[in-house]
Amino acid sequence: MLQNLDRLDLLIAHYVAGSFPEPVHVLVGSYLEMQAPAARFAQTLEELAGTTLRESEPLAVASRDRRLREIFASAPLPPELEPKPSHGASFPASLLAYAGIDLSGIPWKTRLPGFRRHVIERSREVEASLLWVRPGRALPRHGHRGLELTLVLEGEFHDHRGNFGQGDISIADETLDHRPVAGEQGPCICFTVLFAPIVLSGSPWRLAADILGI
Amino acid sequence: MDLDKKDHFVSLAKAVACERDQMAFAALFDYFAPRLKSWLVKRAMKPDEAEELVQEVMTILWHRAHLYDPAQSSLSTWLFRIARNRRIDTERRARHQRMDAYEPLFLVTEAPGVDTLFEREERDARVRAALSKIPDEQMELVRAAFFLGQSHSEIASSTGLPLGTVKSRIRLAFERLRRALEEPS
Ligand SMILES: [Zn+2]
Ligand SMILES: [Zn+2]
Repeated sequence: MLQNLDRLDLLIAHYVAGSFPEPVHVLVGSYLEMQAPAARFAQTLEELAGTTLRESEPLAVASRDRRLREIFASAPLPPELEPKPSHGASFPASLLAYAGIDLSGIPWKTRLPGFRRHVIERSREVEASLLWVRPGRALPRHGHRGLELTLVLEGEFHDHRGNFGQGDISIADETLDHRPVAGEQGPCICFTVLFAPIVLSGSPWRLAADILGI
Repeated sequence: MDLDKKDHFVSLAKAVACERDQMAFAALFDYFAPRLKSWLVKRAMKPDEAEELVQEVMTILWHRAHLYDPAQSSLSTWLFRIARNRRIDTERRARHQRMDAYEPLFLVTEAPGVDTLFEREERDARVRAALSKIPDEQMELVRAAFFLGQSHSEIASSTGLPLGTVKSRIRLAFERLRRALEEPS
């Protein structure tokens, strides 16, 4: 679903500039692996950034000769790691490298009935995790205290904004309250990065039912 | 002029890759190291830390120049990506002291195999045409976003423009670029 196109453009622009912490950089990079048109847009911005760099004003390097000597004397770098072709999985290579796992080996923890999670990293800035949601299951209605980026890796989910399918990014923030529901066709697997914990909202009965997954 | 410069960089990189030519490398260092340093300092890095990171980037060029493919991108773009990824990596290392050997951020998303060279050249021509029609006032703001990573509000405060103006100019410029990329060939 293409909503928030200008926010997506800005997300890609900031990815190109490298202004995101690693988990978000990986999320946008994974998105680019899944969406060829967005990857072309990113490549164009990267070429423009390269041109800007080439034409920018230099700032003198203080110890030029020493640095050159050190570079020439440096040991060869280890060979570049090839992204491992993951068997049968469609997970983006940058996500697999970052998460350090393959699709068959995700150590899921059940959070609620029909809802599993694997936290990849938790820092002061962000929490990055993989989510698995049973077909048709609703997640409890919640609001956000900061940005929530969700990339759909497999399956789909919908909320009042519309449908998010494989390779779509949902951008949620303080202004959004939603109740995501996994599609009926199969489990919905997502990679999500939160800048602040979510806050449950909505009627207590609905909430109780969604927590139980009924 | 600019094209000559680009070709010149490509032949220097080739000399580094194939002949381990130190003079060629020094020429690339003298051109790019001070510009990479300037970019990092603009991104709020301390000058001495910036120089350390520039040395890391240029060390990668020295050892891996054979991985640079001029058909995929210009040398300045290749170096920009490495510097960007190293900068993120430095922040990660500072946060986690997680020193595992993997280098996820060096993987470069090139969307390989989606276009033929012909399609790429055609598209590049469309993009150049679209770019020439984007007014400077829009381009300047967009550049602040993809080169310096500034948010709308940072751009507004550094340029003194109202936030609404910043948003609409950036949106217009990006729309133009997207349309140029999506046009069927
Ligand atoms: Zn949410
Ligand atoms: Zn529904």
